Amino acid sequence: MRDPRCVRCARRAPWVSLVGNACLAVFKLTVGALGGSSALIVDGTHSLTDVVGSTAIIVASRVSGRPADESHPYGHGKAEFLGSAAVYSMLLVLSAGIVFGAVVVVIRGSAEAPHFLTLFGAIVSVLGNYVMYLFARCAGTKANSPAILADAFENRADALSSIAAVAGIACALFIHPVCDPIAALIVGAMILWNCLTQLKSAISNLIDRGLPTEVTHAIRRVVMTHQGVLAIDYVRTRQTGPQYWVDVGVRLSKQLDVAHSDAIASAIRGDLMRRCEQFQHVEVFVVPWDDRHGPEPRHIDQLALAVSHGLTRSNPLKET
Amino acid sequence: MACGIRFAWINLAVAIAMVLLKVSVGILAGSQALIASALYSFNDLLAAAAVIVSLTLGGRPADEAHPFGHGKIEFMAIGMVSLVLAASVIMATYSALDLLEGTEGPPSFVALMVAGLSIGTSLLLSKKGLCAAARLNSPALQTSAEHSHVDAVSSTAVAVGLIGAMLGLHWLDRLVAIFEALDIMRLSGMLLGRALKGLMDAALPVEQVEKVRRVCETTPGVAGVSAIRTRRSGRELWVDVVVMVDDSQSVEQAHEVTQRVHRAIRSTLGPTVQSQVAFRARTPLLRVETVSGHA
Repeated sequence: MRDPRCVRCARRAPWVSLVGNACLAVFKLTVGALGGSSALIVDGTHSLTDVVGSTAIIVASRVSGRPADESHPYGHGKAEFLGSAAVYSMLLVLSAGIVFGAVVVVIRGSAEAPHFLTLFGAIVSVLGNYVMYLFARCAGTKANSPAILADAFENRADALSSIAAVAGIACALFIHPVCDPIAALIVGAMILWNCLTQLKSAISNLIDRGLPTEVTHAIRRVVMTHQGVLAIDYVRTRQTGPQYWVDVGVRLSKQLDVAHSDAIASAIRGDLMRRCEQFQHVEVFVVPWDDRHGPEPRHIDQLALAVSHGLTRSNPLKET
Repeated sequence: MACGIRFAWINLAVAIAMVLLKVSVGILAGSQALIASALYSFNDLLAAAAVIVSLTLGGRPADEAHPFGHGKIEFMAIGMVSLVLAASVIMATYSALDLLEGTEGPPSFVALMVAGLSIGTSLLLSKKGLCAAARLNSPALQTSAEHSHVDAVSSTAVAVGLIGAMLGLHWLDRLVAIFEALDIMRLSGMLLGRALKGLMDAALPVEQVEKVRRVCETTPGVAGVSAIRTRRSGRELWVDVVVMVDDSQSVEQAHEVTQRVHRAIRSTLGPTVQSQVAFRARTPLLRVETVSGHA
C-alpha cells in the first residue's frame, strides 16, 4: 500500500469493476436475448448482479474507511465484510433461481439453438472479465482489501462462466441445442459455489476470525526477543476489516517498576506495529511472573532452559 | 446457557406443532386461511432454528481460529430472523391482495380457535423468553422472544379479522392486516439495525461507557484512564481499558490495581463482561526502541 500508484488503483478498482460490468451486462443480455442463448443471458445476469455487488462494496468501503469514534471504538472496518456478506447472500438466492430455471428448460426439452453471433458475444465477455480480474486482483492484494479481492474473484468467476457459455453455445450450434441450457445450468452452479465460498469467508471474518497459527507463532517469537519478557501468556488477534487487532499478554518480573515495564511494553508495541502494516493496533497486557510456575527465570540460561521445556512457547501460564 | 438452548428448542417444537396443527386442521376443516397461516408458523420455525444454531455455535469456547470466541454468530441469527420477518410481510401483502380479489371462504370457528391457541402459546413463549434473555444477556434469545411477541400480535390480528368476518365486517380483516404488516416491518428493521450494530463492533451505550470510566477512575491506585473500548460479542461484553499508574510501583502492585479494575468493571456490567486491563506509566520516561535479536 506504500506505492501511491497502488493507492490510486485501490480507489479506482470498484469503479472500474462497476462500469465494466455494467457495460458487459448490457452487452451480454442484449446479444443473448437477440440471439436466443440462455447461457449468455445467465452470464449477463451474473454481470448484472456484479454491478449491484460493486455498488454495495463502494458504499461499504466508504463506511469502513472512517476512523474509530465513540460509538465504534474499533473502527468501521467490519463494514467491508457486511458488504460482501450482503452481496453474496443476494447472489446465492439469484443463482439458485438460475439453476432451477435451467433444469426446467433441460427437462422440458424446449431448447432451441442460439444464433451464431452469440458465440462472438461470449468470447468478447471472457476477455473483458479476465482483464478486469487481473486489475482488481492487483489492487486488492496491494491494498489488502477483502472487498476488492472478493470483487476480483467475482470477475474471474465471470470469465469462467463466460467460457462455459462459449462452450455451451458452440456445442448447441454444432451438436445439439440442449447444450445451451446445460451450459446455463453449469454457469449457475458455478456462481452458486462461488457465493457459498465467499459467504463463508465473510461470515468467518464477521465473527472475529484470528490470524493463522503461523503468524501468531511469529508474533510470539518477536515478543520473546524483547529483553525482560519472561513468558507469553497469550497472543490474541482478530480481523477488524482490512487490518488486525492484536492483544499480547506477557509476564515480566514482579519486582520491575512500572516505568521499566511500560518501556518494555511500548517497545513491543512499536516493534510489532513496525513489522506488520496490517496491524491496526497492538496492546500489551503486562502480568507479573507467577511463583507457582517456579522461580523467575533470571538469566539468559534459565530463560533458554524454560524455552527448551516449552514453558514460554506454549501456554502453561494461562489463568482460568 | 443450557437452559437458553432448551428454551430455543421449546420454541422450535412449538413452531413445528403449530405448522402441523394448522395444516391438518386446515385440511380437515377445509379452511384456506388456516393453511395459509401455516406458512407464518413455518417462518417461526426457520427463525427458531437460526436461534438454536447460533446459540449452539456461539457457545463454543474460543479456539485458535477465533480467539475471541464465537459470540458474534448470535448477531447473524438476529439478521436472519429480521429477513424471515421481512419475508412474512411480503407474504402477508400477497395474501391481502388475494383477499381483495374476493376469494374468501365462510369464516371458520375452528380457525378462530387455532388463532386463540397461537396467541396463548406465543405470549407465554415471549414472556419466558424475555426473562431467559435478560438472565443470560443473550441478544439471540431476546430477538426470539420479541419474535414470539409479534406472533402473538399477528394471531390477535387474525382473530379480530375472523370475528369481524363473522359479524359481517369484512373490511376489518384488511385494516388489521395493514397494521400487522407495519408492526412486523418495524420489528424487522429494528432487528436488522441491532444485527448490523453488533457485527460492526459498536460500543455499549454512552451512559454505560461513562459509568465504566467513572468506576475505573475511582479505583484506588488508578491515576487516570487513557482509553476505554467496549463492544459486544453475543452475550459477552468485551471491555478493553488502559489505565495509568504510578511509575515507581512494581509490576506486582500495578497488577493488583488492574485486578481491582477488573472486579470493579465486573460489578458494574455483570458477570458476562470480559475485561482486559493494560497499564501504562503516568510519565513514560523511558522509551526503549532498540530490540535485541532484530531480524
